[in-house]
Amino acid sequence: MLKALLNKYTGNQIICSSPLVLRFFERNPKLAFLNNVTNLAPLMKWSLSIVPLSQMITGSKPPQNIDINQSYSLCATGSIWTYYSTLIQPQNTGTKMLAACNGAMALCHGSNIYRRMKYDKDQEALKTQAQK
Amino acid sequence: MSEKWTKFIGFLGAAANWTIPIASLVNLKNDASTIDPIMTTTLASYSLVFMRWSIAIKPANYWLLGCHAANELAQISLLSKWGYYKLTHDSKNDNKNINSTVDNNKK
Repeated sequence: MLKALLNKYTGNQIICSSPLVLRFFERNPKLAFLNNVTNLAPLMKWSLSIVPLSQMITGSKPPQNIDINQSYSLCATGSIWTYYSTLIQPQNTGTKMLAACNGAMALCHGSNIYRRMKYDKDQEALKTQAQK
Repeated sequence: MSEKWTKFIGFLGAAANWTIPIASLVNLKNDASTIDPIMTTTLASYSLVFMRWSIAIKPANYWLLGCHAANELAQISLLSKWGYYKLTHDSKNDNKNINSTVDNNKK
């Protein structure tokens, strides 16, 4: 029954099909790719790797504040989804971008995990030194 | 590739994606000051778009749809917890915390 409710959307890539929006994208054909969810979704997913990267570079998130559970899960999904996005239909520019951005996501959060683990190790070493 | 294989990998991907809402629901127990509002809002908006994406593709991935609905709920609850914490705590205490972390770094 739930599937029947979603019939309107299955296999339908156009996000907004109201005549006003469609007319706008007809006038601006260079922006028309934004109305396709297979193109917009990878664009949104890039923010998931840009945010940790910017936090790494500006140093606004020191390693003790990294949420390691979240980093683990995002790294795992990134690596599985790189493969999955090469299997699905349709195979257009959007899905190829999705593969690229998932790879980037796995790398970003992998390095975040490494940073946190290194920090924990250093702290333990400092503690043992203090005890001696 | 056969459709069965694609569907199986899709199920695997959705199962891996389930770790995101679970991780954030585990974090609900922790102190509200550990929540990163920027990452939480990006995760929430990403979930919104991917709910639509998961059924636009062929074959449609209903597991992923459910997973992203759960993630949306988890992220919104985290965000509201952070907002409540920000509203109820005065900024004086926050400054004290920042100073103490700076001192730790110097040591």
